[in-house]
Amino acid sequence: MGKQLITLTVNGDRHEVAVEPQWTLAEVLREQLGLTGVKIGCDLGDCGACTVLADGKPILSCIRLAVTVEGCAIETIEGLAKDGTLSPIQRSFIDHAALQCGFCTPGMILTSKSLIDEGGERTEEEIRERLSGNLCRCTGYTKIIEAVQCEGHRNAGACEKQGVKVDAVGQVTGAAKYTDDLSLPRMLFAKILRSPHAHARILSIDTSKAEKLPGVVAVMTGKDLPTKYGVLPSSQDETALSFDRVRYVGDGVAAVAATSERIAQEAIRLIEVKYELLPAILSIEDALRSDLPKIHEETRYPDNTSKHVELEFGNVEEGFAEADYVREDEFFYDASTHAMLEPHAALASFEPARENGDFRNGHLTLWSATQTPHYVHRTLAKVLDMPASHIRVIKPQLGGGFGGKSEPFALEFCAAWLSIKTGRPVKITYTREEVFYSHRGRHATKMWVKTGVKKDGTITAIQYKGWLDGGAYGSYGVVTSYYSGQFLTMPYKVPHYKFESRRLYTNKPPAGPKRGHGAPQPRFAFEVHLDRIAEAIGMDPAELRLKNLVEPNSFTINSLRITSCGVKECIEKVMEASGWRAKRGKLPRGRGIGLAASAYISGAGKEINWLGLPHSGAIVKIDRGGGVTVFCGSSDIGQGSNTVLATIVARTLGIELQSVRVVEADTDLTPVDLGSYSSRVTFMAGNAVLMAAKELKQKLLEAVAEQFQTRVEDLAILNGRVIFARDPEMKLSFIEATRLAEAKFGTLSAVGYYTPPKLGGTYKGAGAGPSPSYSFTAHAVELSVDEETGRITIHNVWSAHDCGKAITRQLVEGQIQGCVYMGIGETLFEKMEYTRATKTTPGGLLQAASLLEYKTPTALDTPPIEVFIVESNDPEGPLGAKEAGEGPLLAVAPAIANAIYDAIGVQMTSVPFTPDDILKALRVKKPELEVGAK
Amino acid sequence: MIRLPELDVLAPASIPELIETLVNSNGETKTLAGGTDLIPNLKQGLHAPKRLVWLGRMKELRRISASAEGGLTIGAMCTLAEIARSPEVRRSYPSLADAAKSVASPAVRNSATLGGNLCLDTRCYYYNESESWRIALGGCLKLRLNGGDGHDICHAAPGRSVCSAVFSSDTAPLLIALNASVRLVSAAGERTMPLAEFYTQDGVHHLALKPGEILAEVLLPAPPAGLRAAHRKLRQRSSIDYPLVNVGVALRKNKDGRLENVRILIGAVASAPLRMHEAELVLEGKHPTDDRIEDAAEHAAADVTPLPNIGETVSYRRRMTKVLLRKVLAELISS
Repeated sequence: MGKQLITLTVNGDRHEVAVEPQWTLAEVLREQLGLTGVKIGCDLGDCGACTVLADGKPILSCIRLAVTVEGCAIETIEGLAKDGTLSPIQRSFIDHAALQCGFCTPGMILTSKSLIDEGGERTEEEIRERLSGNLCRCTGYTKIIEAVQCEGHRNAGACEKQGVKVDAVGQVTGAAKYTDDLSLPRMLFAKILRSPHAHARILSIDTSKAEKLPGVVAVMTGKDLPTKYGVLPSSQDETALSFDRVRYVGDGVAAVAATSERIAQEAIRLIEVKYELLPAILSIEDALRSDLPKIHEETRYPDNTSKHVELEFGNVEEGFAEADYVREDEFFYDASTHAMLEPHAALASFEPARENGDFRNGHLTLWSATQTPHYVHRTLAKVLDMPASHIRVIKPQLGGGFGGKSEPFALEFCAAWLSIKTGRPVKITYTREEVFYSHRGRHATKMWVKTGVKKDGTITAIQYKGWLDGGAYGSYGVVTSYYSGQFLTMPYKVPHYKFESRRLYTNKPPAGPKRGHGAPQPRFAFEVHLDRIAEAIGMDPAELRLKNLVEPNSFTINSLRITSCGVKECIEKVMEASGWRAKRGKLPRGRGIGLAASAYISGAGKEINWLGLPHSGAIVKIDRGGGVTVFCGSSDIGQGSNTVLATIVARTLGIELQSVRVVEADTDLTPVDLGSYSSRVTFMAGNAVLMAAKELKQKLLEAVAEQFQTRVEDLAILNGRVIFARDPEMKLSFIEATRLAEAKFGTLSAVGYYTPPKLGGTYKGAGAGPSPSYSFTAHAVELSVDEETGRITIHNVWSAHDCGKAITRQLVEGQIQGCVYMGIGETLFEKMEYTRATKTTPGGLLQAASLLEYKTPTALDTPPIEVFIVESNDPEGPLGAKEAGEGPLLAVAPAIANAIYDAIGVQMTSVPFTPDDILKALRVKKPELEVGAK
Repeated sequence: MIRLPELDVLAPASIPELIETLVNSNGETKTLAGGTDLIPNLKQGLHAPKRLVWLGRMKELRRISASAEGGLTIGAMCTLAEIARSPEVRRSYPSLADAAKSVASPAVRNSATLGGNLCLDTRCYYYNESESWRIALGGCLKLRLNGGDGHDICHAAPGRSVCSAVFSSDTAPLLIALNASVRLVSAAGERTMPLAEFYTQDGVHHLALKPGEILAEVLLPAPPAGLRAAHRKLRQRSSIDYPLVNVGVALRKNKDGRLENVRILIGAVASAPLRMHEAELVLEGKHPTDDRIEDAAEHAAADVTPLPNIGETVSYRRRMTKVLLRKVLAELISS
């Protein structure tokens, strides 16, 4: 067969390319022509990230053979900007903040361009339809639709927006390099062989056939790196690859590095592994049995419990005794996964030792798609048994995380070890299926909740129990177990509270921290439960909430310190905007409105390693040209943390945003920041850079004050100029000020850092839950239920979120919209279903390991999301800010459930609610409606 | 990226060239049209052909022509997007344009062809997965019947000896309702058969295509006077997804208001589109009433037996067969 020469016209250039007939267009564009703006999200034609234009029409380059587009004019994202100027649609995406992680952006922009070029009307409906094959996991589509509608109308009314995202140009031009876009000379490609069994002992691994395959350079198994690790010191239960037993279908057992990905793919098939099957534990119920094998034999529990927490504050029995009405309910919230569009990827490059052959004296660089380079850095050092000072971890542009990339993963260790072994760079990029197996998503949780209230609605006590399906490994599960109880009472005042939560190991992909980490499940349970209580005591559910709210500057019963708190304003805002009073209980049958509220942390008050060191560090330096560079270990994962940090510095120093550059997430260059998880970056890294920027400002003003014989208090920097109180006409440029300061103080730089204050109670477990500040949210949802098909149409979502002070409004809005979208996905569409055990198969295979079967909502399935930012101005947040990236997800499911109840009088108690579930619930309630099936 | 195994792509530019290609390719060949079904299937290792015969260079398969009376000849390589916006199709059979537009997502429809949609492989939860996934499952009936390893059990319906993978074409049910036929070409010559006869009830060999034969054209008669036809699809998301169930209906209302030539097809509940004869009989020659429509829809729901091999529950898909059909009939009759 061999290669054949074809002529491709790409972005107006004619290329003669030698291709193998089976190469897809995406392979040729990315690997032969270097057009890495063509993104691979699913590789099966399900997500739209690889969209390019062929003769002006969008096609999916990952499922189109290159030989079949010869003669077509191909356009990729790299071809849109002409003569150094962005095209109008690229500008519109930037101005409307229609991008976050940027991974769907090239496909989204090209699809939009094809619509615009047709010249037809751009109604919202048409845009949603045309973009419906391009999945986005970040934005909730709202801003993308605005961007397309406004293209070409830049200065008109609602379209008049100015984008601020500092990395947006690279994202809309395809210049941004994500990990899989990187490539080094002599680079090898590696693949990991995965377990076909949910639970089995490994008897032997024979890699000899794979080693003999031409092109294979190295093979590794779990025995090469047997050191156990885990992101939490208290659950060190994973290894890079399994060597004694496999614990879920998809657990890694061996890895091969070869000269091409195809050879690596072929080679892992040649590895022979002998297994002895063990009973697979696939449910919470089975995990509670002590007569089944333990998945981790070293735990101290007789069954498959991985963590058990029980805490009581006050005395719940007393509280229930004081109540006029006590109610108990049971709920279930199923697992869901992040499905960020960029698959995990890692590239390792090893530089051998100068002298003796011990690899520990060499130097390793790892580029990885991670939210937490610092934890990867620490863990690599441990597992490779190599000094951390010889390891450098860099996070390139990242295509979404949502918690799914916030701990070390097998590919990072395998790429590193294979690079050490071969002395060549090694890259591993997961397939979409492997991303599903890596999981660390939402814990499926079974819940029981009991609450007592007085006749007037005052809550007297709450008791909660939760059973969390943790999957095969610990991940952040200890924290999840605490979080699922610690945040339940917030945002309400509760005098007596008791909770118990039990996380269980099962033979499924490991659960972990998905956006909202442990909080959405109990939030769902409690907010729905609260609506039922309101009904029972004859109160408006919104009034019941308003009656019990926590107040600013108070402590919760479990010793969480609340400072700024705008929850009341949030609820009132969505009540007013949604027309709550006019609608609740008054809409025609089939249409309903629901509401729910929540609170979330702005970063964890305790660092997971309990070292007592700062959580965020930053260096800010000023160049002689007036440019300011921020060095911070924080990871922009698409949420826009680089923009937030740059904005804090620009505002503090009084200069334009364009003059500030952020160098992030590089363990050699940037001071430690713990990473992008637990909604901590704006608050913690923001405070670190604020501290450094303030110091620099002080130096500048002191130098200017000395030179001009005035006081620092009488100076300010605004729009790049120092202004003088005594003489409004007098101005000094920022650059001149920096010269004076450098002359006086030497080279201009400052460090900043942030360590949270001492927080929380003194009880055991008091370390999980405290945060220097909490955000608050309320959502109202209006929807219709089609009682024949069970389908739900959400008409509108009104979301009010208290983020302290919004540093960058567009990004805050985007976070809120993205949270609502993701909440809708896990409430109505997304399911992690596994095959059941039968006579012939042991079960435990994930049935939805693709973006075709895992139903993340499209633009047509996502409603308009109206956002209200409530600004409570946090006393400790940088410029008054607190979190916005996770909190707004928590109350989505209960707001939907409560709206369904208002619409059809049916109580949904188990997330997700599929159309079939709605119909079943309707039939249980109204047997006379029984129709159809026989 | 998932790498495809080495293979050759042949690209005949005319029917004679195609025939020559087919004659010379002794087995291990697959026909490639738009590739939106075949390429993902190859990436999942469902087939390992040595060569693909790509029909994209055959301009004669990319034409839509209409007779003076509105009969249509549609080349198999016309994309679904082209069909959805074709003035000829919109004039004669607007329902076909709707059906074409309901397939997958916009970008898929720019590559996917009508011929490809009619020859779509059958799908199943337990089969359309990666190779390692299927190995983990231990194999299935379809895999075995296709020459693969593992046990020969149908996981959706243990005990069945015929594969029950689902045929999910969104255009086939309607086209059968519209009395379409297909022109097939091979080295042995060409033949035309009603589309209704093109499908078997076997999830493995679900097409009546002989080895070395390709579907070249779809033929639609001139639309009969007073024809009313519609396609309707139910899926989880409003884009991208295959149907959970779909409905293709054609009928005529005569002068005194009675229904004639009622043809009802249900898709995505079996390995072929199913014609609902009983439901048709309920309506044929009758004045349509709400009760009759309800009755017809109920008959259809009783006549389908979906299996748990694609998304959602069997009971839901059956129930929705009734709901969808009732809605379509009510709309067609009142329009």
